[in-house]
Amino acid sequence: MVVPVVVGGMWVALALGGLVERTLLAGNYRGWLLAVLGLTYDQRNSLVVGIAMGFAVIPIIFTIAEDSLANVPQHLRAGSLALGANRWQTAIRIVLPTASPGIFSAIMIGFGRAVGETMIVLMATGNTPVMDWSIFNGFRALSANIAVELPEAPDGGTLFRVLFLAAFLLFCLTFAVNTVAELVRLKLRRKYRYL
Amino acid sequence: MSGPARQLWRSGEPFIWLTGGALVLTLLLVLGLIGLILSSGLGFFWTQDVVRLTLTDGTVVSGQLVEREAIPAKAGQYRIKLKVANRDLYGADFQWVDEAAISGRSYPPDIVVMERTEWGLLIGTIKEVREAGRVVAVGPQQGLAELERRLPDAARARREIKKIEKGEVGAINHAQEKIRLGLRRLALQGVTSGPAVESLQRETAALQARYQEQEARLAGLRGRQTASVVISADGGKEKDLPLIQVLHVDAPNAMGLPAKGVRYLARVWEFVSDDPRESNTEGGVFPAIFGTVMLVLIMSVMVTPLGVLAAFYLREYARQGTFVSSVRIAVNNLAGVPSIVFGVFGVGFFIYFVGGTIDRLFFSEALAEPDLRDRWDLVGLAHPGPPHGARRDRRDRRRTGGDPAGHARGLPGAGRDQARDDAAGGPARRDALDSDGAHPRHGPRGGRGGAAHDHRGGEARAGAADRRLLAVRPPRPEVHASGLPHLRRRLPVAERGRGAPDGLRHDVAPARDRRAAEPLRDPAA
Repeated sequence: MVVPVVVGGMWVALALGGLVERTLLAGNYRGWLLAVLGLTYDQRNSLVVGIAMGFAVIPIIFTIAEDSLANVPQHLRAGSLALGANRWQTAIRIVLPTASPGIFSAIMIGFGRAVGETMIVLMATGNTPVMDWSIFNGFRALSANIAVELPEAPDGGTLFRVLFLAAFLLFCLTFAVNTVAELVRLKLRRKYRYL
Repeated sequence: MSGPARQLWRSGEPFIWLTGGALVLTLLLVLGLIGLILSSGLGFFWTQDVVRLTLTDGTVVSGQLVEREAIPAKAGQYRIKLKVANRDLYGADFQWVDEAAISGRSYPPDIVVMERTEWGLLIGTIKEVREAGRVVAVGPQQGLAELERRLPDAARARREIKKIEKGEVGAINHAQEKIRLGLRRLALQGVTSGPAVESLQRETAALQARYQEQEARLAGLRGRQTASVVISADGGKEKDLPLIQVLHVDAPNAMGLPAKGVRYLARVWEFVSDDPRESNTEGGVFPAIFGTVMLVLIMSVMVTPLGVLAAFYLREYARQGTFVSSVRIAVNNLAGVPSIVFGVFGVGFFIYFVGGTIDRLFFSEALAEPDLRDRWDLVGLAHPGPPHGARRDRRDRRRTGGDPAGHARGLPGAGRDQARDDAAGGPARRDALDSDGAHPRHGPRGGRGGAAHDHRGGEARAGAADRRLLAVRPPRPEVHASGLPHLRRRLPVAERGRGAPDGLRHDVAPARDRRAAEPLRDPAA
């Protein structure tokens, strides 16, 4: 039931895309972006990376979140349904809070993966070391920076040391994110233990 | 909000739709991704028909259709991209043709597509097959039959040549390198003459003789392969191609679906089982597959038991407490650390520190000479800077054009390929041994970072050193990566200003030019 709706929606979007571009955006969205919003457009930009990264991170978040949802005891659901709540109310009020530690850690692990992801960023961004808030421009991530520069950094040189520092920074970042995630998870677990 | 709407909202029906929609969207994304990868990857191996286009101005272009796109400036008009191949004849692999300029299309059955060891595909019709200058078959049909009869023989000869180059000549090279390291070890111990050195030098001479022998064998093998095929291509161009360079011949327009299917499977198999050719633009990916399998095997053997045993102890025997739970948190954290951090660690610790220390302790003769940085004068560069901490400086120097003259051999990987191709060329240059006996030089492995990053300067010296060992590389002008000017080597200052404003060498021989996909504008327009 849902499948045809989504597929149809995508098809309609594709079909209308050209029309919208012609009528609203004067047939050339890059030119329109530049003229109206004052934005430049790179072929490899943040938007592309964001979506491509989604491919990599969705499965991780999905598996861990599903695990934790499946681990909610059946008697909780049964009790809630028996008291007259419908399925949606049960899901949102009972199952979700109970599974929240797992879902939270799923999201945090997904974040950790995204922070350290190298190859997607390396290939899909322009690797431009420029600060820019526009999502249509490229950028450079810490991990990609290391991957690009390390092969040509001489042993013991300044570049080599700076890259080590960058790696250390990355390590600290992921370490902090993961530790916070773990602590929050433990806390949530304590809080909802009695459910 | 009215009653039924609130009812609907509270029943959660919209949210169920929302969650279901999210799932479907995710599935579609994944399916689309797989579909994209499969369609653009597997489509490559299908033998495409060759279309022959007659343009309104009378020119004939034949090639495989690659893509069709709308012309941005002209509404409603399309142009097509043809893979015309024949890079050595036309200078470009691809050509754009406006559909408006096409007056006729045909699919002649006698067009053949040839895979060969150099220059990519060759598309055209067979004119004749020759054996030692004598014509043995004329015309497309006869020629194709003759070609298919002779190809297995040529393939055998090619394999044999490769075996000699890789096996016998490779072994000689290996032995030479061992002798060089032996001499170097003796030199490090302060022994530069005497019976030990002399015996090593005698061995070198013996190896040289063995090399000459193999050289003669190779020359003989090559000399026996005199057959060639003459292909006529568009625009009245002809190519006389030695049969030993032909890997495969297809006449795609004459092939039926089953034949194409068989060919498809054969090409897929070739892709997974063959070595790459032509600087990784053709051939297969077998070495990469092998590398992946090797990596996983080594990793599992070395690390899997460790992980399982540690987990076992932690769960079964360790007293559960703060220490154990903190270990657990730490391990979870490590699992989240990006792989690139481990990569940096691997390079810094295992390669530079552990590997470098082992090299210094046990294989000091294979290291680069420690005072190399002070000796730029010997490679044609007076080095005015401070002797220490000069590595970074050397990199900069290389970029700003202080390249040790024109004999640097360009990119190292390509150079190596070239060396193998030319393994049988050039005479042995024993005289080089004496003239640059005192040269500082890199070991072939380059020891620590030194040679690893110092491509060009290192290559120059390594080039000299190789000549000293074995003349497997005849000196010949090469331009690597001609489509990528920033990869081209810079000229020394003295050579600038002669039509090379940016200091880049522009004397690219057009036939050697490997630019692909250079859009040629429609000649009719």
